[in-house]
Amino acid sequence: MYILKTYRWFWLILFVWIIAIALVFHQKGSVESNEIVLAAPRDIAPGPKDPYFVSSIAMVWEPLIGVDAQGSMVGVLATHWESNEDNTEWTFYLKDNVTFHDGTIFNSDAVIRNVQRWQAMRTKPSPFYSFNIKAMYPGLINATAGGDNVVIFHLKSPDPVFPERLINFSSAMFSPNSFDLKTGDFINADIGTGPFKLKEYKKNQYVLLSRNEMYHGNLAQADTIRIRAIPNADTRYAALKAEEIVGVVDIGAIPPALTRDLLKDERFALSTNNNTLNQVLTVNQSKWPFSDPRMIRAISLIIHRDDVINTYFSGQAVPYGSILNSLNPYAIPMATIYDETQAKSLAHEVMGNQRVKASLLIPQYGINRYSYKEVGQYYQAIFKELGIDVSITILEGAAHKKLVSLGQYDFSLGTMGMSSYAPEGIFRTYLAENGSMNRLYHVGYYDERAELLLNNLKTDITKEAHIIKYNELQKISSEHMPVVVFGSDRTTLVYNQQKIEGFQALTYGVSLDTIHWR
Amino acid sequence: MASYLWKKVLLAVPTILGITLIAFILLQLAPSDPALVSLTLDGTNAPTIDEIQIKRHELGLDKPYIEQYTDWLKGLLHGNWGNSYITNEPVLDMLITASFVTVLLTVFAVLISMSIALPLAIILVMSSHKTIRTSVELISIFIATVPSFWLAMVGIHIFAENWSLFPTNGYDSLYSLVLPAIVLAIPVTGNLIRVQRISLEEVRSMNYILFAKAKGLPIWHIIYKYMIRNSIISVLSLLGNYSRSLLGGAVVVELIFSLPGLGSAVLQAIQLRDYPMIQGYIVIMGIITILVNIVIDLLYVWLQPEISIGGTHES
Repeated sequence: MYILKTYRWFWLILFVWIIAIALVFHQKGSVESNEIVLAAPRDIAPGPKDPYFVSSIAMVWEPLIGVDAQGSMVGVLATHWESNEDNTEWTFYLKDNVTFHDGTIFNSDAVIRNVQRWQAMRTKPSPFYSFNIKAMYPGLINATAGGDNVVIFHLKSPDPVFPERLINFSSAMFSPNSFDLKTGDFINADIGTGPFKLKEYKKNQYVLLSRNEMYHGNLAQADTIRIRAIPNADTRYAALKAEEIVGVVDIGAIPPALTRDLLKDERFALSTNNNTLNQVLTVNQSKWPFSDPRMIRAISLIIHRDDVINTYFSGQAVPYGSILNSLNPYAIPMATIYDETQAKSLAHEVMGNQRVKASLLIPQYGINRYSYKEVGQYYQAIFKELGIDVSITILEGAAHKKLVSLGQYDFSLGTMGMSSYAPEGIFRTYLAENGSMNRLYHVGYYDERAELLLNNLKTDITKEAHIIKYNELQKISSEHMPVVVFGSDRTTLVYNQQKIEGFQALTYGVSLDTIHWR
Repeated sequence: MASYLWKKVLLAVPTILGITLIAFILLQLAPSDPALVSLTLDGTNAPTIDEIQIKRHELGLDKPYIEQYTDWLKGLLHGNWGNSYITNEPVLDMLITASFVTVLLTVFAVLISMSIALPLAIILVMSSHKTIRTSVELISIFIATVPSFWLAMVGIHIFAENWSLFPTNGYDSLYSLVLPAIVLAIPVTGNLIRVQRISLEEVRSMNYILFAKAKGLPIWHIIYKYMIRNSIISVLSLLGNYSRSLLGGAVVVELIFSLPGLGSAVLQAIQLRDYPMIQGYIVIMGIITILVNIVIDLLYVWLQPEISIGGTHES
């Protein structure tokens, strides 16, 4: 008793420690053991304020039209579609016997309510694809029912590529009972029709998915999948090695250097697929000498795309040179020409014997996801041959955007992509004098013929007429370039092949529904 | 005592206001446009100039700076800390959720630090074995200088990746906080050992210790009853400072261990120029700092009643 009383603080502290240790170990084994745990570099479920709640990677919701593993358009909740003669009305035939996770039937009324939500939201930012009704569905008047499973979209002007605008995120269908029609915000998590239900999510921590036993297609093979948000690439690497996670998903899931290292371990395998992003070098063409198209051509010619991609991207991209991404159904493959002699000659024509100083801005995300620093150094070295002395500045994302939007740069490395397959989006953004990228990033691009073609596209009724112009616009953009495209990005995912099967990288995300324990 | 506490709280108000004002000015000077960042979160969207203007108006960024700041202050006084520019969720809710993990992590780190530092400092002071003294001294200097991010990476590699003793990341339970807390505690422990040793040596040289020894009291009793109690004040001061820097320093550890704490939240907010979140973080940190100061002051009085605070003697 004396010892207890005299040394009471010692005993108290000891007691607190014993309780703390007991609590710590009691909670140690709380995670279900049959869960398949994957990781993503960002939170894939931003929640109710996001236009999609959760990324399409989670396979919780489905679109009317999606893309298959090869990138071709396929009906998901729509079986087929057709238009009237002047392409101002598009009729979509919906899949039968589909229900949302909350039991609501998917039919034309559900689609109409989703369209009303789009019109009420107008714009809504998202880390996946920002929602912007004007940019995504220009000229959309409304949607009406043509039957229980038939819905008609009415447009102000002809749009022969309206279905191309609706792929994936652009036609995500949510239960009409899951959102507030006025704000577009979600009011519950029973949102989709997909093979997985959103069982639980914790912001910036994880998403827990459970199999939808009432799914209209093939059931998912795994009961439960947890996707953790692990922002640090080294930690994702360590988690893979420790077998806490069995695979990584999402863009920039694992940088090239760590991928190479992981593949030395026989437990791990790589799964890759093309995605909709292009690797580009943006040139500020509002300043001499880059205001001369010959200079941009010289820059493009001196870039040995095969060398850059093979050396610094380790399978994360393929050499490419067209403004439309390789997955786009209207893309024309352009030869990636390397001609140092002609490049030097063109630069000499523009600059004579002068040398110019130029700045190359690199966003931080490019260092985390890719090898932009090394790519920048490569450009620094080869541009010297053209008389351009490049200084490299690495900036965090917000500062990079600000400097580029102020036009305080000469070169900038980055990715470009669009949420849809409709080529007009990319063309208007980059080739039009008033295109948002042209204006916002002070690219200073102007091409008279491109301007005329873009104007004509507005009145062309048929798809054939559109395709002719798409082809010509691509040709123009390969000769008079708005940006220098040097690669087509590839989704590169690593997984533990000794633990799981059915892991296949898709054009966006992974085949979550086929993943299962070995 | 009550008047002292009031004074502390009243003094805190202009301090926090000053900090938030400086932070606001610095944010405005930083090269960024939150409207542009918010509209280009996906990395592919290229908004028009009009869309950016609309967003700026929506976020109130087109108002004069003074008005933006006073609007925020008014909201704060009414309990409205604003909504995040990025998630559109109430900043206060986000901060409270994140604070829980960070405070838990910091308390855990302080407990670990104290529990290791105190016995080692006693060994250093009481041991006559030169090798032990030198070894502990050198180790304490070494661990005080090791950066947390390095410790975190090495800790993950050894204890999580190779030995699977701890998880590499995430916050599922208290167990997930053990390795991050150890990483956070190690540099602090190094400093605490040194300060505690100096303090203990000063106390050991006092006459009352000599008297206690002469009376034949057992050494552990002298250490427990007299030496620790009288030497702890300087350690508490240091710990007060470290608690604040631990809260701030948790940023790197939280990032590496993917813990959803204040550090991760503010880092993301800075990257995305989420001004309301950054301002809210500054206020929260100010409040925590003041609370820690008050607790430390009260502990001084409790441990040594002869210490007076607030200009009056306490008995």
